[in-house]
Amino acid sequence: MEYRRWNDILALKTNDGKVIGFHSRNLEVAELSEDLWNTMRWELSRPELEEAFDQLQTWNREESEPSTGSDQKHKVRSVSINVTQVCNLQCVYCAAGGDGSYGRPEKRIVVEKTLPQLKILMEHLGAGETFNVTFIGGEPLLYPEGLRLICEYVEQQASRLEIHPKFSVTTNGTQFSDENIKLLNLHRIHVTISLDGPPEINDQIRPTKGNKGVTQQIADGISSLMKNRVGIPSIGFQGVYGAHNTQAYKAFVYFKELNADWMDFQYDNENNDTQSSLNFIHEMENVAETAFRLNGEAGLRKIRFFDNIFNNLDQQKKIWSFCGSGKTLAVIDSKNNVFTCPWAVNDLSLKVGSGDSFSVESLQTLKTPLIETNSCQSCWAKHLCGGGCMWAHKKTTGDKHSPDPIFCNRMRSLILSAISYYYQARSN
Amino acid sequence: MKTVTKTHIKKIVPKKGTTQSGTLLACKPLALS
Repeated sequence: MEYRRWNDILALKTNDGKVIGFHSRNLEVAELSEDLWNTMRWELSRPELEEAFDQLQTWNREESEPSTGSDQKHKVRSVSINVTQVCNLQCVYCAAGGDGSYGRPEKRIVVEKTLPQLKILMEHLGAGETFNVTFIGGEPLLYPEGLRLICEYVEQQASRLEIHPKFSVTTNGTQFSDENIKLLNLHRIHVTISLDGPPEINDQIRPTKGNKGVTQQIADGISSLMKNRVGIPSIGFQGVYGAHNTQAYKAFVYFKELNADWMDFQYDNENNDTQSSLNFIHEMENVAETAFRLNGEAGLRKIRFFDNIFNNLDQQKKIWSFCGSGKTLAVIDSKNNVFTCPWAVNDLSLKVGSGDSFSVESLQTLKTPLIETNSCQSCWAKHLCGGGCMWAHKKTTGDKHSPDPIFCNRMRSLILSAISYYYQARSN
Repeated sequence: MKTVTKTHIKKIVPKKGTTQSGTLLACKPLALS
């Protein structure tokens, strides 16, 4: 795929000769003529291209309706809770010290300390707003009582404050007992299962502490979860890729067999190996091609990244910040310390509070949109990316606001692919 | 006033009513479990 850029217009030429245009400020996608493609290189050097060039200039100048995104008042509306640091697996790339513990002795959260923290966050919201609670770990389903107590409390407070609670859990999939499935159904908890691929891959990367493969046991648990699902709103799979493994395509085939509602292929934010990133892009292009060929737009949109881009193009919704860190997100570790990013919980120097001695304002460390702070103004992909992951940037460049070129290349490549499928899905 | 003889840009009409099933603004913690 070849591409050209003229001010805020990006054009890409597909292998079959179609020219797709993208207006990077207005998030519009269009089919362009061959003349317009040529004028993007030669401008007015050829008189016969004058009309195409006029239309290019006009489109570039157009402004869509003013977006409310950049000056919208942010509220902290999401919290990730590290309910337990204990984990029964020992994944090779684990961000939490190899066993979910970060090398620290405390095993699980003290719920009596968590509830007042949640109260502070919830009372900050207005009636009708949504409060998102995500349980992470360690393995959160090793402490189901903690989940139950928190869900019951949040539901009770939400009813009093007239706000909507939304629960999610990220689990390794080994703990789908009848009791835990009942808990997930009862509180309508969205389930994300961390899984990297079929048994021959996943068993190597995500074994137990005794180095035993448990992928088949996980698949059996998923089958039971699917069968007994009555209140769980969504079940999806999330694989993590990087130098340790870039085989997203094999994972895609396996996830399809397991019949998830959605799937997500995340690149390890702590990995900055150029070749692995390129391999991952190639794998994702194969994933997208197969998903689209077999099931069209619906198939492609089972993949969270593509679904998000389609959604943003449909709504013409500009992304100003890659994630909620420093604006809308709180993270509570298993010692009830409060942070602004799930990656930061390994570093106590980054905590913004502890117990109930923190203010909602202390979580809002970033006052400007990330695309401005990270100097992304000239990037055509900025409003579909949002400035990228600050943790990944810091890992590579040493500065969380200085973008990691490997991250940016991967993001732009995948966004280009998504725009191309959006055009294909909608132009027929 | 110039007469347009050819349309060089055919915009795709977005489906504005599409259900939002996700957003990049949401918290995206990597799988720590």
